[in-house]
Amino acid sequence: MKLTPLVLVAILLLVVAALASAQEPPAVEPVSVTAVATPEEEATVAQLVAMLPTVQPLDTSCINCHQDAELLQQLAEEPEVVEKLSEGSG
Amino acid sequence: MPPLEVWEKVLINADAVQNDVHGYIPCTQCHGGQNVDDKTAAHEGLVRDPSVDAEKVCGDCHKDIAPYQSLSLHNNLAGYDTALYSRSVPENHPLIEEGESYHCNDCHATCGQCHVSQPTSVGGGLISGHIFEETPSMSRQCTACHGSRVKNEYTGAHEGIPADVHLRQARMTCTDCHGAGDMHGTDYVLTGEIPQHRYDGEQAPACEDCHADDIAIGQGNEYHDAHGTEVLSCQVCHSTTYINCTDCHLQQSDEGVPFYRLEHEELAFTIGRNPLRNSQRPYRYVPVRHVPTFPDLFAFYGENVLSNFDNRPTWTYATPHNIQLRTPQTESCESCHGNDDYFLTPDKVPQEYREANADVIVPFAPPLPERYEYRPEQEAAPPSADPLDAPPPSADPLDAPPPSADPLDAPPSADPLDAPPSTPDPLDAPPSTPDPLDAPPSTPDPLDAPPSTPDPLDAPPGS
Repeated sequence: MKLTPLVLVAILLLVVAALASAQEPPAVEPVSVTAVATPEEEATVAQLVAMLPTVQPLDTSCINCHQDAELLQQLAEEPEVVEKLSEGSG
Repeated sequence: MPPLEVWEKVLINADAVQNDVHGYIPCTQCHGGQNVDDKTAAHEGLVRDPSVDAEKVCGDCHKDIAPYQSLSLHNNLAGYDTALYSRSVPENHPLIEEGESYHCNDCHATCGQCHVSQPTSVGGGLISGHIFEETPSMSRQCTACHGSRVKNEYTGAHEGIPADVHLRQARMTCTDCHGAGDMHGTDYVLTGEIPQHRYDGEQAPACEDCHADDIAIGQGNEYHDAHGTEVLSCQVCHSTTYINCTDCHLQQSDEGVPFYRLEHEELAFTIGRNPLRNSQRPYRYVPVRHVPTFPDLFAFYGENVLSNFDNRPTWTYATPHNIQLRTPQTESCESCHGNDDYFLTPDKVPQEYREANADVIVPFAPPLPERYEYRPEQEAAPPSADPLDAPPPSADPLDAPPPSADPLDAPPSADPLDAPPSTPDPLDAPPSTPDPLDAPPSTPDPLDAPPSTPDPLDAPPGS
């Protein structure tokens, strides 16, 4: 293989890259982080939570009865039949 | 549809309700009562129609609608008060209100009576298992109340009279024309004009909203060209026979059950003078309908309650919902011109009601234009020379532009219908001349008089 200037430059770059990857990473000192919300931040969070929709317990007694056609027929109280007194188009 | 059984009226579709956004709200939050199994305890304090208080119950979410519901005529029934109060005096208004509380107030439409249940006035009952429907049902909600007039006219329930063309050909429902803004009252927030009756303010809907091109002058319709857009309301030519009611008695039985008794109903089509003529409804002639009123309407509740009965006509501006392209009126010019049968002539109004209807009565049917009499001699002429095909002369008073000012707001002398005696309108002839109400039909109507200068289009062919 003929060592042209271009090939020499490529070899040089490979050598530099290999040396660089072999070095130790710099040591990082651990830092203690304590996240304490300010009273203002806590109030804001509380407001946001209050705005979230809350699932309320459904009124199951109402629904259970009013979706049961047979039960409704049993419990229905027929209204007093009032004779139709009006005459003519309403 | 047949009336609902009692139990059917309160049967809910639980699955559908819980998939609806309103299903997140517990029943008792709106309806009160208690979530317990015992029926009596559960219904203690129950509110059948919570949306009576729309702002409180619906307003948390529907902030753009609920606060304005009270502006809607459907909700406030202002039209009733407008008509009844103007026939009365303030000291009698409590008696009217008492009568209304028994006979009228069930007609107040709440949010729920259009979106959840049938209206109370027709017995109520859930329409879709308590699902909230955005668009009301035409049959179970709109025409449940608007039945004897609108429904019967629109659906062709009167024998021999076809259904409205908008239903027959386009299958249009009420909400296709009558929008939510009108029903909810929110339109009036934008305009700032709170209507006091159904024909108060801008026409909505208006025929030209869809038919502007058909109505415009010069589009080839000789009837439209001849009459312009401000002489006749569209319904004068395009509606047909409708119901008229007279002499409604409001009463209560010995047990206190309110009821009414209507003395007389009649199918008829009648053209009268426009009692509401203004810049928004400039027509000289409109269909008029007799409303179910008479001086003793409230006699059960007090003596002479409607002491100013003659303050309003008993034949009122009408927009029948039985529109047809072709009607008996459109058959020929002679259908209306010279034909008293279609007009509210004095002989059709009992003497005791003539004062109330003075603004509506037509002395006689407008005769045919003078030039029309020569038609038989000109039938052989080229079409362009036929005066019936000619554009109306520019000087024809029928085509005069409407007064720029609202004639209802103008002093009486400025109202064209109340023009001074020198105005040769037979509708306003002075008392010293023969009573226009008794004038013979042969008296020429100056509205149809030929222009003062000869119109070249009226000249005989070849001249």
